[in-house]
Amino acid sequence: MTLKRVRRLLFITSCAYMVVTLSFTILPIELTSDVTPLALQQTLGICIGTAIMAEISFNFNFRNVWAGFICTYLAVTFAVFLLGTVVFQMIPLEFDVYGSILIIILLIYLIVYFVEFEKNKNDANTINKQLHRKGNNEK
Amino acid sequence: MKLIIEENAQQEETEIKIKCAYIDEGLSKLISQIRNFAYMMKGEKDGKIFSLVMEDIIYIESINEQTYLIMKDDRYRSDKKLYELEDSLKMMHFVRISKSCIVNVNQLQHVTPLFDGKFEALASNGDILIINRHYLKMFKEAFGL
Repeated sequence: MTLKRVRRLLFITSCAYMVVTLSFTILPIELTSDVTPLALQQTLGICIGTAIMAEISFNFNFRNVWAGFICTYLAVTFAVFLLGTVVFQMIPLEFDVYGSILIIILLIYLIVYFVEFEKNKNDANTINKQLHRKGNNEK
Repeated sequence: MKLIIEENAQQEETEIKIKCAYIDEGLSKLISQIRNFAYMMKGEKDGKIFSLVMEDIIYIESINEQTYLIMKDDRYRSDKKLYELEDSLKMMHFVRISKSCIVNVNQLQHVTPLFDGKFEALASNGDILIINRHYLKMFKEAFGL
């Protein structure tokens, strides 16, 4: 999975949440006691914010590698944690649960980030071999 | 592969003819090299127009809507836009690497991956070029990846 795919996934997830919350807001669908109209409106706001943030953070040309990593990581965290909390009220707001989720997301994101870098490193080696071969042939 | 060279004083224009069963990867590279040598481009410098051999052009870049042909020691201005050149140069060893740059992959010395998903390339004149994520796939394809 590449970072581009993570961004797409994030954007599509946010859009899907938006459609669900919009339909619950506009259509006369009966809500369960756990989901209030206010929670839906908040979710809609977060969805739009997350989608915009995902697009901006992944498209921005970061000079600092770690700034890019932290911004895109925050976008992933917002999408997974906040949307999950507000829409489904699945994640209780206890510190240890909150911390565990953040660490899991961070680890998954780190793996994706460095797997892509490793793949690029291998591709660069193959390209360099070809370039050096060409250079030797010309000599 | 046989190499036959016929020298004839009567011949007006140099002609290269390739006879083959099919075009494999090696032959395709050779054809591309010949095209690079055969195709000339006009570049302007100090009010004079020069004919430049494509193979000698290291990269083509666009700055403030002006297109420049970068050679080892010189840079020439071209009246063509970068997008106009991109299509015609596809058959040669030129690949788009960013919104403002097309590079001759034969003139690259080394590439290095960066942490933000981009590549950094060292050109034969010592210039460092950045290959943007968006164009990375096309760049890798030029090397058969």
